[in-house]
Amino acid sequence: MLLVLFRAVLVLICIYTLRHYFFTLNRLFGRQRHPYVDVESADWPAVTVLVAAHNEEAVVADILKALLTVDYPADRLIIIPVNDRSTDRTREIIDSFVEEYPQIEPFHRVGGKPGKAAALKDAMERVNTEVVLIFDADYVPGEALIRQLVSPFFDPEIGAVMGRVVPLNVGKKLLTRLLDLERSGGYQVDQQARMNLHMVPQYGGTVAGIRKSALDEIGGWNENALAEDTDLTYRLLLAGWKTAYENRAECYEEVPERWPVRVRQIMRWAKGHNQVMTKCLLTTARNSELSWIERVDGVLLLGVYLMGPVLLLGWLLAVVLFYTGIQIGGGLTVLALGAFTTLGNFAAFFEIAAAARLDGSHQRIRLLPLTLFGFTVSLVSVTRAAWQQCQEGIFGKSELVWHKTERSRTAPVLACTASVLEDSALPALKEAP
Amino acid sequence: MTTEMAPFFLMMVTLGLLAVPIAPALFELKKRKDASPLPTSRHDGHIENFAEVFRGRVDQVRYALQQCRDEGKIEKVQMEGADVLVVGCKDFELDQKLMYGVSALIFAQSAQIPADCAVEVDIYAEEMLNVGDGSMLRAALSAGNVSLGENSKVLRWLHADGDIHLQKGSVALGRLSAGQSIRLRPGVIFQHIHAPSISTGHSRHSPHLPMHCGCESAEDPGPSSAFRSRTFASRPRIRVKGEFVLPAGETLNANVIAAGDVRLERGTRFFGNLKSYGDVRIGEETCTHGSIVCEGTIRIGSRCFAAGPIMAEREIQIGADSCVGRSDAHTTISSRTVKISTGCEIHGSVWARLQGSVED
Repeated sequence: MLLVLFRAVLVLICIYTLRHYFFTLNRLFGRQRHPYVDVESADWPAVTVLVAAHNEEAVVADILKALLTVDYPADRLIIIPVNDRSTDRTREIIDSFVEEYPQIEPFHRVGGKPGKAAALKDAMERVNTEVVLIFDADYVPGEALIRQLVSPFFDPEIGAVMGRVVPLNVGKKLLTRLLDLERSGGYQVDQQARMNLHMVPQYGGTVAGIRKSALDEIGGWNENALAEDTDLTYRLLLAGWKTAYENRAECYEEVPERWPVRVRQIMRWAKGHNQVMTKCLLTTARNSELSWIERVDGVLLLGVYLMGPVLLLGWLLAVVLFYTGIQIGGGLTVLALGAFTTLGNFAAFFEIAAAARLDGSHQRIRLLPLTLFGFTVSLVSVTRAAWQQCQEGIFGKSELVWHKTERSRTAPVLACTASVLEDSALPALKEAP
Repeated sequence: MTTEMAPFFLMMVTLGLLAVPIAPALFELKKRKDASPLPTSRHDGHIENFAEVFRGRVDQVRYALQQCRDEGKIEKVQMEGADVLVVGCKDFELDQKLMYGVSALIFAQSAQIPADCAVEVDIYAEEMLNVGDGSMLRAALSAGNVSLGENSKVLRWLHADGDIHLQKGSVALGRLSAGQSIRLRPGVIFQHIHAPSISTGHSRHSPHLPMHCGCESAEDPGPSSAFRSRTFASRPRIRVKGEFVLPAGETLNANVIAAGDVRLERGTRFFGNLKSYGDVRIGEETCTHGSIVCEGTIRIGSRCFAAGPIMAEREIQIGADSCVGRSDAHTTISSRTVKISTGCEIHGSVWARLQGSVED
């Protein structure tokens, strides 16, 4: 029994290892798809930008200023800051913009369910445009970002669009540097490879867009979802809509600077993801409307946060099997294990290294061994999240708790970037076309 | 002694081996050589960006430009730390000695590049720029019009605030943009072009004006903007597993997504957006009022009108006397290769990632 379980764990680990290599090799050597990147001139549609803000006094002004300077026809851009029950100065800051900029139409939410999905659901009642873009308040969109996120919607099959998230506060701590590498791997390799291979790029909930008619068709936002982004990705997929990933639609974000914040964030993601998995795994696997590659990728994507507990279980089983003296197999098995140890364990590192190379950022690759530390923390966190969900499943559901990610920014980022510019620390902001 | 120290040495060697991969990481963590945020593309992606940057540099020598023009002289001046040659006289002849070490040629009036001549520096012309047959330029910006002679070549970019005229067999690699119009003769090769009006002259077979759609007035007599907003309006979505065919003369108002090929037969009217995982073939005298997205090849027949963006992963062919986009609503054509027949008119941008050409 233990041996069967151990072998099942090995098979799962091998599948995810192959998946890492497959994505990485595709990004390094495969044909790259950026089908919507060239749309420069178009009859641009009216767009509503929803800015989700809950106690965001430190950052909300930055994103509003950035959105007011984007290169998109002003008469077709409506900005709705969704002030979700804030108790700080968020409302005051938003209102200070309204008099001067009529395209800002604030929505101050004072009651209702907690959580981003619930706030967005209420805000959608004010949306009259077919294309809706969503940003969290701590993001800093660039000038061309709105056009880049809107252009895929000219494809009638696209229900949602996801841009690339780039950490802004990279140099602050070890954690931010590790998250920077992790994000690079996730977007530059994982998401783009999925786009290249017609798989399932994931809608990420921010720096993202959604087609209103598609959202209406699938029943709107699910306010009970902890990970409304994953929930939406799968509901759209199952309804025949595609999600497009735009690797060049890049936007700066603030990543957690403290480990407890990071642990809470990843636990929420894991719980939300697992919640969607229980709901959509079988329907995705069985959906004959999807291509086989979408079904395989969709199922594997749903299982990513389960691989933490699976890996820990594998380690535990290995120890138990060793001390109970049970043979795991003959020479071929040992050889296979040896080969896996040589190659398999490094799949995720290979992916991050490839991402750093594609980003043209060669020095930060040196931090690669330290990502092991970040992985270990994530491993424990997602296992803890899965364990808590199991307990809730057995002993009854606890109430949905929304842990907002704490912000570390203390000064307006536009001022920060201006000063950093002089030190040449932000080359992109000075970039010549 | 050696035996007693062995465990210590073993431990040191083990720690040393462990430190090998960790050391660069700790070094980077301490020295922070690459700790700034990754660069993101914050420019607006406009085709004219290279020209605008160059114009900004030229503006720095505007005073010298005026002076050379008034005095009719030629002078070397500094522009952002590099020598540039400012030409104020009309009878300037390209002279290798004079050009030695300069990074740009700034003409205070019209400029004439003789035939079979290669200019490897950026050119600015305050008025018209005429490039002789068989000549080659690196990049050029003109505040007036530009005319490229037969079999001439631009390697990087070319922008004119007025019109650009490319004669037979000329090649424009990189970016080609004009403030007013671009006229392309048969045999022209291009990559990325943008102008309010791009025309490919008169068709040899039927010297008509390009097709302009009358659907708008028939469909909606209101202002064009009211019509326009319906491009993104919610429509029924038709998902087809195989091939989709719209029979000749029919009208359809829907978004169509087909797993196979799509054919819009002659004289059809299509209101909505179209996506095909195969090829798209559009018959003669057809009007499409949305986007056309295709994983294969899009073939548009002669005397057609297409309003929305046209994107194909392989190739786009546009038949004679067709019109893409409107003067008040520009659009984009994008594919690996683009072939445009004569007699066509395009409003907006054409991005041929590999090569675009004008076919006779």
